[in-house]
Amino acid sequence: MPVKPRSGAVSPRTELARVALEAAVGVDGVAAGNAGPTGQYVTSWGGVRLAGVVATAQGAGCFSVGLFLTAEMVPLHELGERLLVVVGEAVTEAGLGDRLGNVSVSFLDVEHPLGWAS
Amino acid sequence: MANEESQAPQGSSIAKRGPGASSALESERGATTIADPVVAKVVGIAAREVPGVHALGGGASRAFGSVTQRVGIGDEHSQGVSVEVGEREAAVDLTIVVEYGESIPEVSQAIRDNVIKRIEGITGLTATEVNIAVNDLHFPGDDQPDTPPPAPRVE
Repeated sequence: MPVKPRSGAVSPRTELARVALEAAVGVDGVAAGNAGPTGQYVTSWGGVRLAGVVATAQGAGCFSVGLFLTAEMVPLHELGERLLVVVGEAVTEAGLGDRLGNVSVSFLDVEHPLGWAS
Repeated sequence: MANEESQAPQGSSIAKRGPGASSALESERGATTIADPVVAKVVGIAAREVPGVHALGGGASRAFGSVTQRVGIGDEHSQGVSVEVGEREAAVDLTIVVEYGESIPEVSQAIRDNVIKRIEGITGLTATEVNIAVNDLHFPGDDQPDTPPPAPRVE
């Protein structure tokens, strides 16, 4: 799900959010980003809308990143730990490692692999 | 209405948390949080995986659930499920509809085993209590539409 802004430069905050979410949804066991029941867990800029990630300035040029996800039916604490590692690595590889502050992962929903008819 | 219960071992306790709470795992890299509705949904999915379970909830709760789902505030996976989640433990109350002919004790035990396995495997919580209330039986013909009355032969 690579997402590039349509126009203009991006801020370190939005780039951090994009890199973190892309890394997270690429991990096995993660179904999708989750915007939350009222759509509050979203980062948007320049026509781009990333559901499931919020980056917030926390001082000293760093941003905390919160990931809000729908997971598959897998052990979630292990998945969370894996995500923290993967996101850290992806952010470092993108040259934003010195901008990354606290990272949190919240699983808001789970999906059954077969789905269920109502 | 049959009611199968499994009680928590003596001395165990569950810390009750406020609404909108979640279970969290802190590590040096960050925090992982699992929202309480996720626990309820895992329970609902685990219960429905058991052969012999026709549906969760029953009677008024299912009717109410169908309304909440239509207006987007309900989830069929959590209908008939109530969970109390602590820092490390969870207690579950389930209401189910069983297919007629199934052994209710065997279905209940299979539900209990699967729910415990799923909760502990997916959320890391210890399921200390899984209470199951069999609210109704489902017969094969229950879902068929009522036979319409024959058309009148004369007007």
